Amino acid sequence: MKTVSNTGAKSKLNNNTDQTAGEFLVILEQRLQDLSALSRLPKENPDGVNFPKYSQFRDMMGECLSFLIIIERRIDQIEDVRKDKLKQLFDNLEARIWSTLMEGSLSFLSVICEREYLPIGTRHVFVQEIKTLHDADKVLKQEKFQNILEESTLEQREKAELILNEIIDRAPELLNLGDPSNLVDEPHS
Amino acid sequence: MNNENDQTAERFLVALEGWVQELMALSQLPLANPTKLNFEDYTKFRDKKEECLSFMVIIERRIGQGGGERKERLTEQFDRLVVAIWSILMQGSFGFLTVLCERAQLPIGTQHVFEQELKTLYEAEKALEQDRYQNFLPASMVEQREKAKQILNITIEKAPKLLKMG
Repeated sequence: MKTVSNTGAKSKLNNNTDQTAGEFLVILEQRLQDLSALSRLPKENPDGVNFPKYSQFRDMMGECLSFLIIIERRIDQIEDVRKDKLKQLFDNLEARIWSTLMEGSLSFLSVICEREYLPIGTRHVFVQEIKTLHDADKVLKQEKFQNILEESTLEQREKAELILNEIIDRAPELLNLGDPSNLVDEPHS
Repeated sequence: MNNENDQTAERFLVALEGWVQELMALSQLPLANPTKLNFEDYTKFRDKKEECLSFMVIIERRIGQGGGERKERLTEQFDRLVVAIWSILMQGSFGFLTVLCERAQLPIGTQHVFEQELKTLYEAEKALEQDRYQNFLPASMVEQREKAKQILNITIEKAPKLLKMG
């Protein structure tokens, strides 16, 4: 009796997906090194921080986060035993990426805030980094990361929370949102 | 102190509603005039998106600092606005990706657009699937979300080539 099985094709597809997910994790690991170097720029050379350097950090952030989405989907499609191992590697990388982003965000913000004259583009930096810090905080609070976060990241998170609250309190001035009472007409009494 | 905070949150919500109108106009550009669409149009959409999303962070925190019945009311207002924003972003993202994909030659900056909008669609879908927003989603969004999921899946499948990931 002839039996038709598509497990061959299916397992080949799974193998391809595993390989691709695995290969992408390796590539993303390399990208993380680049991201790390860019996130350290403000601390290593605060006077050298400028908008092009900040843009490089943002571009690399964009790549890494897109990569995370793609790899996550690939891993979801895997059906065999390799899935758990890949998921673990992925979670570890995700935690490190968001920790690096948090560090980079804080560094760029700190350097800019300490300048006597806020450079052109500061508003743009604040707008973007409010979201980065908020997102990083949300991601890193997740249960699945609690056992893999380093002590230094936990400290960074507290610092990020303080900075975020301070920025948010001052947001109307910093973001040219104006005096809140000027945002709408005052009701006539 | 709470009263002042609530009033600020309320005014911010009104201001955000204004920005959302601008975001909506920008999100409609791709479908309104696909042949004339350029990178500058996309930049305006992206900048307004970032402003709205940051403003949402600020307002959410302000509302969080308040309490009582007013907080509930403000939270509901905020949640409606969040749904509106993510729905508009999903439509805009979808529009920009579709128009760009249909061009014979992909203009400079396409990789950047794909990366950004991949992320936007992904975040929009994650945001809109949350339980707390289900009562605020209009019926039209069901179809929109299905379409966005399909585009997201196709983009992710093609992403390695598109994003030159090897």
